[in-house]
Amino acid sequence: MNIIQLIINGISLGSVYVLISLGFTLIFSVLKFSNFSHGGVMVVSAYFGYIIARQFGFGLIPTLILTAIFGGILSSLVEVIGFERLRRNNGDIMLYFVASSTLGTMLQNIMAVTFSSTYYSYPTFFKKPYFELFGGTFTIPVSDTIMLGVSTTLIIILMYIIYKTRLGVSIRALSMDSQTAKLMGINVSVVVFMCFFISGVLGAISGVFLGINYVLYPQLGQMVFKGFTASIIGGLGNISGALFGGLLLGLSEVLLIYFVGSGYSTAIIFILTIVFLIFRPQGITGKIVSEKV
Amino acid sequence: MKETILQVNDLTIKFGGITAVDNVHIKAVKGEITSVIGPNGAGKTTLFNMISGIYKPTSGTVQFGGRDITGKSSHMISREGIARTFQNIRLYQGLSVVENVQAVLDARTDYNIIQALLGLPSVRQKDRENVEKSKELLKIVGLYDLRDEKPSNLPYGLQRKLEIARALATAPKLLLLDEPGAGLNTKEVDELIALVREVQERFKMSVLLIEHRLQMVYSLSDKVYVLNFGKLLAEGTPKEVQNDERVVAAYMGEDD
Amino acid sequence: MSFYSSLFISICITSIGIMSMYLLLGLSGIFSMGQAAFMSIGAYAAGLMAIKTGLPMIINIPIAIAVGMLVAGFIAIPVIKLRRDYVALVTVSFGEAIVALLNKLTNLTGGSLGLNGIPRSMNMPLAIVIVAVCLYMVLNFKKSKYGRQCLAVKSDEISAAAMGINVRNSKMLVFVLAGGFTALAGAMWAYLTTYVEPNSFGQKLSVEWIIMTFIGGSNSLSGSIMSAVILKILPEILRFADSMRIIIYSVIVLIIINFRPQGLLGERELSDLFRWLKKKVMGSHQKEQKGGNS
Repeated sequence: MNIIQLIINGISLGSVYVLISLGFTLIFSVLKFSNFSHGGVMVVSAYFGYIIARQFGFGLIPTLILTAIFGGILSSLVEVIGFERLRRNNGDIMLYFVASSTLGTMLQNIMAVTFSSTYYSYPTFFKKPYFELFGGTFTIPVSDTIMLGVSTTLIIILMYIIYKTRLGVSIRALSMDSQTAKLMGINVSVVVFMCFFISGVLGAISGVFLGINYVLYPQLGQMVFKGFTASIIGGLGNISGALFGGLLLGLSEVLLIYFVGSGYSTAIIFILTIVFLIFRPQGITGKIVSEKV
Repeated sequence: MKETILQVNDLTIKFGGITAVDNVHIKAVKGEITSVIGPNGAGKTTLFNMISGIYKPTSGTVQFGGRDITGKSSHMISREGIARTFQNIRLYQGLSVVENVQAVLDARTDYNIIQALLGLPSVRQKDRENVEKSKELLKIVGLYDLRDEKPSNLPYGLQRKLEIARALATAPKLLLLDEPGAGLNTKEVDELIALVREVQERFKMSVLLIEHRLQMVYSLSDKVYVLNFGKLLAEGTPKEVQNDERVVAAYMGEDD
Repeated sequence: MSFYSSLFISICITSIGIMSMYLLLGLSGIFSMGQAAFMSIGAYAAGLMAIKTGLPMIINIPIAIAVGMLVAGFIAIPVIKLRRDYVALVTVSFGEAIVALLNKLTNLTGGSLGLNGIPRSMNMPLAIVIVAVCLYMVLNFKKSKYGRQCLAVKSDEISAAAMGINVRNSKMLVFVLAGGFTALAGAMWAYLTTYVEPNSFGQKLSVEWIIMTFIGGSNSLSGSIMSAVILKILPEILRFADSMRIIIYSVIVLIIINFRPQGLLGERELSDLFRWLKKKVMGSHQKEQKGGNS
């Protein structure tokens, strides 16, 4: 295993973390809270993808598209059940935390009950699973390449939506000042709904990739905390933060696992995160919004 | 010779490229009511925030009773003897009216966590004394009958009075009032003016006031400072400032 | 030990855990999502002391509490500086890290196989005494200046600081205290089940505690404890499978959040109920004597 191979692996892994983090960051920037249910959406979508891939024998791309739509719908449903009323009644921020973590746990447990704890594995989508570069010195799994490609495409699409469309303007307005946005005629409910849909799409695709990379089991939703960590490191609440954080986390994890093994790597990453939070809580790119007095 | 209680010298704060407060100097005399006025966005609240420790100034000094308190943190400045109220009311919603005041006295009450956990009689005694003191303060502002209510149930004018009662509980030497008249009707403003006067006389309190209602400012103040765009525009007695052309010009187009 | 004594002690233990959640969530607004990790710390500390040194429970439990408070002190350092969202993320990561560490440090902790052979020294009378003492202390905390300070900080940090409260100290104190209580619960658990393993007290338990606290009402101590008791007894009576139980609780919490966000008891405590009853009973007396009051 040479360093270039490790870096390639790190970037591939990182791109999944970026996707997870993006879905999470979108909700954070608009509603200003951490959506802990994201993991639940991810894992349910992952199972959905598995089912349609196995049952109908779809290839990777159709699976992704269908699962993405499923994820978007699921996420919007989650919003309606968990957060819509809270939003209308100006609920305490803590209730959002409780609602989101409860929904996340509930979704995971529904999967656990339905599928028991058997591990499922996604069908292999490709005959030859690896690309070989430079005559076999480096290998990159085909699925990883597609992951990178899909992630990059999604990021570009997301950027386009946010910066070039009316919806995007509404989203940005809402993230800066929800009161004024309402006064300017923006239908907040619709924008929030759309944000959750998009977040669900991102979550679903991350879920499928995680299912492919690892094995499908209900606690896959816990992976969402990797996304959170990425957001913290990169900067909560903005897209470049998600990008930086995800890639950095992916690389660090791959390198750490190689050098010290997987058990310690969790602890080390945790300690690094804490150190980060003490000295630079806004992350690499973030800005802390302080309260107006 | 009048004694200075607060001296602000060349106080400046920059946020990114914007200089919100630019080399302002203020002198508040002990026992007097000093006002800071100016159009919206002039930097008045920012000035208060620097004096009370919520913001750290970029340069300049704040001296209180001869001691340099520049850049100290909020709760330390509170202990030095400066209390403030907030423009958008910041009462403790989770506590009742009397508990809001009691919570302030708590910070100056002497028992430790072990004694508290054990529920010792000395702890209960001290708490009871604080409740009595809180009730006294509520009587001064006229809120005694509503002492068990939640702050959110009170009308705006009474919430403001509670804020003042709470600030008084810190036994301050200087009281900073940030737009206490905002959102009040005429009758409530008159009550407020009477309350501030009473506080000044009863406690020999020094007051620094930010206010938009010029009627309040001119009837209460001994000295007035005018800020505009973060800079000191004029200073003087209410009469002098009222007739100052620059002040009138600055307020042109400003609704009250 | 009979099934019922076990269940009763287990309820006592959960109540202590819920008390720490009340201190954090209800009084201080600190959203600790990994509180169960402190139960691991307490359980392992007590268990290791029991197995490796053979010292009696009366020494090991205070040691476990001290260890819990020490670790809480460390974790509190970032927690007190950060905004609520970050606190949640930090505490979750902390929980995960503890589980990972416990699994990894096989020499010390027995790794994923856990610790076996802790003496079964916990019994009903002892559990009752411990719970009663804890309840007494938490109620005293709430009534004291510390309780009010926590509520003030929870309501509005900026004005709390402006009135002289040292916000960070206040948060640090309550976090360490809560860590101590939870570690105590863990130590009691170790002495009850005689066995601990890294996954006993994971994220799932933390979320379960959050659910219990909120169903009863995070601002109500009696509410949280009552719902914890009920939600602990219910599955035993109705024999649900583990996962189904969580799903049902989740649905209940979601209904409550949507339609009664302050929880079943809201801000009221059981003592308020007694006071109300007393007034009703006394009230009819007074009306006869004074001929009505306004």
